[in-house]
Amino acid sequence: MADVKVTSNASEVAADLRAAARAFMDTIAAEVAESAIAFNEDIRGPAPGAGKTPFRTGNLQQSGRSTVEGVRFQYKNDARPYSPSNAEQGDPKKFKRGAESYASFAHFSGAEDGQFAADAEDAFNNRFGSDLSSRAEAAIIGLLP
Amino acid sequence: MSAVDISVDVGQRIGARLGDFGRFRGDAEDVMDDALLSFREDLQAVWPVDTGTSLQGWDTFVDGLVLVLRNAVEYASFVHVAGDDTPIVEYLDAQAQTYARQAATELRGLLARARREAGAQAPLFGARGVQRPSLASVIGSAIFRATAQAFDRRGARTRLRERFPDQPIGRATSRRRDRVR
Repeated sequence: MADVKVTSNASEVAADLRAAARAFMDTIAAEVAESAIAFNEDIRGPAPGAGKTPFRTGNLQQSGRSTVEGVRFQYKNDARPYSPSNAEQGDPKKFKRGAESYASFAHFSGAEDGQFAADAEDAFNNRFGSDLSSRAEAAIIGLLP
Repeated sequence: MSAVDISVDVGQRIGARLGDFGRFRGDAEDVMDDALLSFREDLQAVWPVDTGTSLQGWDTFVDGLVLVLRNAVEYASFVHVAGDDTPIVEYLDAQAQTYARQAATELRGLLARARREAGAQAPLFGARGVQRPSLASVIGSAIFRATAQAFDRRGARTRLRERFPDQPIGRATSRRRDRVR
């Protein structure tokens, strides 16, 4: 008679868990990416200035990004103002260092201050709200054995 | 043609992270911010705008001591100014490296000051420079990869045409930009 001893290979289990976590993350990431692309199309439109984003220099347009911070999806736009002295002198445009972003103030000509922020928030809630959660839920169910 | 990622980890180059800068942390963040703004100035000066798709595709931000500079649009690596076939991203990559070197020099100076102030309590900075990426960074990278794969499967302009079938895609409402830069 002898002891009964059952040993699992911890490294194999850990590898399996890591692979599962990676598959899970990639699946969710794919759904988030689709939402991010659709959201960007929403606010950009078919051409510069034809969507919800006012377009003059392209600064506002390229300064926006939808990304992850902690466990939150977020859209952030930190467009900085250009230094007026450079523009007046015809020098290459330089950002004003230390200046606050003007993104929260941006609007189309004739629209109210901050219209861009309001439009972006609506579009974001539309794309990253129930639409994303229902697609992510379906994707997770698809991962289950 | 492909997505591009020309991000630079300045912290890895100098073997430090933001926490090592003590009361100079804000100064270190300003250095990184300045490098980012310089890159953005170059980006907006040279990147051509037809539909705005590839321009908006740029992710340009600072994550700790990393300059994150990447574009998931499938033809980003191919974009060039009219009359010059050199991909603009080659120029931008060189500029990013220049700004990263300048930032590293300034950051080393700040580190030295922080270390002097900390005196005998100073941590061994070099040993702490290598660190695991944050969860947000890992997830952010996964989303970037997924976005690039999505554009590879169905191109950015194809998506736009499907999305806005009755509208002209491209320059119809675009302000023509000076292409001779």
